[in-house]
Amino acid sequence: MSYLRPDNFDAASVEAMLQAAGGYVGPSDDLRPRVLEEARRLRSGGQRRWRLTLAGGSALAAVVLLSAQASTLSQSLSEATPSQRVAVLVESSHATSKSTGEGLWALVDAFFKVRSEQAEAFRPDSAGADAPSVGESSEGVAQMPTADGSF
Amino acid sequence: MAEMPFHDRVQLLTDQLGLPGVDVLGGLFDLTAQRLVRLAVAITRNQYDGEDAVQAVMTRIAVRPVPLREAQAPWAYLLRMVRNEALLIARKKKRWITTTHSITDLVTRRRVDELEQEDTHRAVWTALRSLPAAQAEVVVLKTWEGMTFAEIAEVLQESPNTVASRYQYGLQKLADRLKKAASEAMGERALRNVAPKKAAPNRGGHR
Repeated sequence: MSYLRPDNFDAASVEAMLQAAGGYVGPSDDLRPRVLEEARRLRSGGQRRWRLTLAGGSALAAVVLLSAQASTLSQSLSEATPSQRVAVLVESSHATSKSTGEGLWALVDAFFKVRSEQAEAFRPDSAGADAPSVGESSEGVAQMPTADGSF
Repeated sequence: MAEMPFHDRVQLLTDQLGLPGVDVLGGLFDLTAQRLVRLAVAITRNQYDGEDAVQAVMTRIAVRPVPLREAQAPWAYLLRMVRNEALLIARKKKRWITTTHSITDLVTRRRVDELEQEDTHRAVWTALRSLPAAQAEVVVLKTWEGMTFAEIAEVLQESPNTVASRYQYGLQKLADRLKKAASEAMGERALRNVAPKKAAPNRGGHR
């Protein structure tokens, strides 16, 4: 057996003893799987966090954009005169009806047609009545929107 | 064909860190864990704390590989990371760390041809763990990593003179403690040899 002997402990022999004991202590067998598992867990956690951050950011950006548009529309409506307000709304309805393929103007045309028929029915020369009918102005013509939407 | 130097092998792996589709952490662990744990255990004086330090560093590399990949000297950088982590753990657990005369918590490995030297290895590790961390880390880096005082100074961010004097003090303390351990071991062996001789007349007396 090789035992420690107290007779020779100069620097060189101590260094030699140290050198020989270098591989004596090492990692335990479970350190490797522990490290790799923890690394995998942290990496996947990081990716999940990144995806969540991205989704949250997109949602926030969408909300900000929508509220900015709503605020612009609201401001333009509040600053406009009533007729301009109606014009804006009619214009946006027209755009909507165009995009949906339904004709809002067809409805308006139908309304005007009914009003004309009523006006025709109550005309004094045709019905013998003097008083203007309900819905007619003093000139005897129903108010109709002009081409640009104003009355 | 000559074997590639250790730090070049480390660099070969760290160059691939963080590249898509390449996972080199296992390879880096296999290559460096024994050396890193050895350093960390010398600083923390505890196997579990040493392994915790290495684990923390390895997982940090997995999450943020760029600093190590872009380091000028990746092996020195890795040693510094483990050393800093080990010091942090040692500082946190300072009140529980006591100088121990046992190495039962250490995970030891011995080759069959080294069985006879196991007593010496145990004495060396016991003595090493009794050194202050500042001296133990210099001894480990100088003796086992084969670094120069200038290289150690770079890892520890100290002056080469400070590092050299720590090494000299550390080596002197190790020599003293090993000498003491050898004297104690010799005394025990002498006692074991004397005891059967004293017992022999008694056995004869019963005849």
